[in-house]
Amino acid sequence: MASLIPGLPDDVALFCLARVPRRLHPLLRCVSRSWRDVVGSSDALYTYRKKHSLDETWVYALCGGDKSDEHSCYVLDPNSKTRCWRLVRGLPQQCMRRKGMGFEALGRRCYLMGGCGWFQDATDEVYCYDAAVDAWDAVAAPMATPRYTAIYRIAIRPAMLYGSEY
Amino acid sequence: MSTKKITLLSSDREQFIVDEAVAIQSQTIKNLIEDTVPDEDGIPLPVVHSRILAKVTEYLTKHANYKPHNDAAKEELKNWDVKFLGKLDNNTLFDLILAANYLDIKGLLDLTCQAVADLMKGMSVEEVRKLFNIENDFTPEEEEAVRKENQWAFD
Repeated sequence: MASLIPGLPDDVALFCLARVPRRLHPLLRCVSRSWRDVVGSSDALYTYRKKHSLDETWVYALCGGDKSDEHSCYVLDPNSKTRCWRLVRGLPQQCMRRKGMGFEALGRRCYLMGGCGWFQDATDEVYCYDAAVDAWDAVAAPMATPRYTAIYRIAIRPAMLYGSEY
Repeated sequence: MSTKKITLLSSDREQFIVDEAVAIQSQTIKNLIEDTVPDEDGIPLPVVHSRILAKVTEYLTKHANYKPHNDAAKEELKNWDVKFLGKLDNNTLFDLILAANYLDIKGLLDLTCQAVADLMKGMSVEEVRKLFNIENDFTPEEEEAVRKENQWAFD
């Protein structure tokens, strides 16, 4: 594997990359294979940013659709100048119309758990969004019991907001 | 009050005489003072060239003699840091990072690594590659895929 930055040892180059703001990370991933791997799937950058209090919290909102009856997930970078909500692509198709899903953030990941449909029983499926690679994936281990939450009994449907750190 | 002087010896055998309080901001130098019998010419730092050690001692001297107690003083020290970095070309910046890492000077390492990170702000992918002399080792298919995945950042 080529070195991250020619002229610097990889551990020191990581100190530099870790100081680049999170909104520029997608750009870094396009520079080379080693940058894609370090700024994406590896834990080293995330761990370093957390340890040195360089991690930034972004706000994720899961919105229940009123017209299309489909969910959408949006993200906001509170430090960006434009302060625009951006649509997070790739929400799993299976979750789009599910009711009563749980939505939680843990570290750099957001989890969508359970839920049910008009004609389907509650499910034990769990999906995970990894903020470091901007992608959704099914979690191999489902919940012990199928569950749904009764949030949709509330007359005004709130968007559920969570922060993920990276 | 007399202060103990420490002599540092660069890789090209140039001597730098500084106060002990200045020198021991480097954890590595502090350990060397405690654990080793000094060379008669000074403490040898075989991986730091005099050109870089001059910058390191300039930074350490400023930071040892200047302990900010209020916001205005902190601001002034910050401005001094900006000016200190502003004079450096990229090669010197890299050498300074390596020296700060070897000498274990946290403040200087943080400052110089942040400077490298700041260089990338507002740059395109191609400009970042050129800046650091990084070879694009993606296949055309891989590059298309990675750009597509990260497209939102370029919108």
